[in-house]
Amino acid sequence: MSETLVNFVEAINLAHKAGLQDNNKSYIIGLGVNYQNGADGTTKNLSSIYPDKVLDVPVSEAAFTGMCVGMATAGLNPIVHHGRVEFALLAMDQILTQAAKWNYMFGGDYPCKFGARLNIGRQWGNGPQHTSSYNSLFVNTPGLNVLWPSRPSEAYTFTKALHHAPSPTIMMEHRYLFQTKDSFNENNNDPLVIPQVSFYGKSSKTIILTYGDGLVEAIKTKNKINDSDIQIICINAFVRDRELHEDIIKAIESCDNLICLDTSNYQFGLMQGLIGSLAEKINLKEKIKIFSPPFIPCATSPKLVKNYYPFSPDVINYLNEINVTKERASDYLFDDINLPANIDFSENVPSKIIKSTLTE
Amino acid sequence: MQIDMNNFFEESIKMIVKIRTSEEFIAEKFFDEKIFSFLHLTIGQEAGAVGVMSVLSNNDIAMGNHRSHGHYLAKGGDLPKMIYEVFGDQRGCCGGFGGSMHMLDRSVNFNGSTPILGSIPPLAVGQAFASKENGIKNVTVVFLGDGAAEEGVFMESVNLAASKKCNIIFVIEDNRYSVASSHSDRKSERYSHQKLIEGLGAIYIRENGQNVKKVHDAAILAREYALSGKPVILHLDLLRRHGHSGPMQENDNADYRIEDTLEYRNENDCLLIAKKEAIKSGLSESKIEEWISSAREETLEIVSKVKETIDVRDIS
Repeated sequence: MSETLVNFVEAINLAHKAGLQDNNKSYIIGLGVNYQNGADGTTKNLSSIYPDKVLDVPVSEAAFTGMCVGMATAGLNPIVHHGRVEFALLAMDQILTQAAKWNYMFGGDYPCKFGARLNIGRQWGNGPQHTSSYNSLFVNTPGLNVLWPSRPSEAYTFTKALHHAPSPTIMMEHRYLFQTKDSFNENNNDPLVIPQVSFYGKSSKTIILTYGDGLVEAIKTKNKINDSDIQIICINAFVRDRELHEDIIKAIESCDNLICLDTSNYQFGLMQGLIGSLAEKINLKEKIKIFSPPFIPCATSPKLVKNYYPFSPDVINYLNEINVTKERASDYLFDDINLPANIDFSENVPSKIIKSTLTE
Repeated sequence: MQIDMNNFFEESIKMIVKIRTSEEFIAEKFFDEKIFSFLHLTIGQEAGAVGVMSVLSNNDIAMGNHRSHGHYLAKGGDLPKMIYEVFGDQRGCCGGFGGSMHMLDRSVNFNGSTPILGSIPPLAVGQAFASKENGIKNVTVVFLGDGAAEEGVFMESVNLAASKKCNIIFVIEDNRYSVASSHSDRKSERYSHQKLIEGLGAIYIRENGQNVKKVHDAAILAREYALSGKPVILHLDLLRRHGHSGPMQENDNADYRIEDTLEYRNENDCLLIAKKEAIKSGLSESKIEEWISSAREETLEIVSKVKETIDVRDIS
């Protein structure tokens, strides 16, 4: 089967089509998901094929998310969609207190096959109340699988997994990635087998540790300087417990420079949690450098956003300062800062992928 | 558990006694045995659960809240498993992971209880929707308190159920208090459940929840409406004998109770009312006392035997 070049949105749409076809117990439920170009195009045209499976609902995030959790405990595979994580905050009782704990609190024989797609709104004009990620809310809650697709091929795999999720699974989608492109095969592999960690490049003295849309700037950095000088470790998912794979620990233990590229607020967030976990095992003090937004919300005005997110030139110039590269980079221009990422990942495939399986 | 109408008073009175006796047993043991599970007793208001469950088929689904011992038993839930669960034993209905606030017996379609206010209505809408999608002709009944009925998510759930034409009955067990806050503390003077509910496109029925026969009759009507795809809110006025939580019975000194003194609660006890109604229907008082006595003895025998097999201090 030949590889198809699609963007992130199209990848999710393809996976939904396949998922609805493969599993007649699966549903997509959310505000406007049945529009012709629903959920920013990710559910485009699906309701015309599956009018009883792609369902619009009243504007009531807590209720329709709870309905999905109820369906998920009755043997169905609903996927609830929230166009921003902030909208899902209205449904946190249902996600964190009901879905995540359901099987455990009822003794372990009562699965909750709940899937959720939550958009992280990094995008021009989204402002303070549409750009949070709240990763740590979900990662810090036992009972949830949390997935961060960082490229279209992963978005495809993860979305298909949601259609079959045997336990509560949350996909955190960076809207910043929606226009990125990728080539991959639509396949019939086990939908529950998913990438957990992706390594880009061979072992190196300099490692960029990132997740989600951080991969864009990591790839740009790697492509700008001598390719072999950098290895990227991209966290794709946490399934069940939050143990770090030993290959991550080994790689970071043997490197000289650890660049943490976090597009969310770092303090007490996902990345700081990762660093804390690593610091229990290895000494990071002399080699770690954090690139992340300042600890304030993201503003709306482009003037105020220009220094908010960490960008590749910041990383490259730092690597120049510490003599990893002779390259220097110019600051991004207006469009580089404000428009969605437009990278084609096809030429940047992982050198190694550690996989995991979703289970009850 | 569906009740045979030929024996309605016998079965409903016995079920009220079964619930009450088992809860009194738990309350008695609570401190001495160190039952470390939050407790919300339903003593005094058992008729609501018994009356509603009396019209449900085994195929119908029920879900509850933090105060669900009565719902669980009246749906046919296993008594020993409930006692084990409350005592924190792995033989409990949730293996001890849930405790008193998490009742579950899926063999009789009692599909779970959760204590967070307003959490259970949308979950029940999901289960009702799943039944519909799976072609199962049944109703889903969900119990919530009058406090939870003030939550926005409850109103949202009614609207969602109405828009998706779910076969569902929301039972508001209105025992007058959210913990110790009365309706006047919590509602505007013009607050109207009926207007709110009917405005959302659902059917609203209000009934005296202390009278098990009246609850039964109202539940029959509610079930008929629900089976036609119209969500129903069955609002039952009840009297909680005990405090909000814990094993202690409140006396007249509970300063938040104005009209419903202990004397009033005793006079309007649902078991007493059931007895009066049974006598009015032609049954003899001695026969009724016999049922009460036998149900009490039978329940005590079961729970005592279960208790003998539990060592709550064994945490090995």
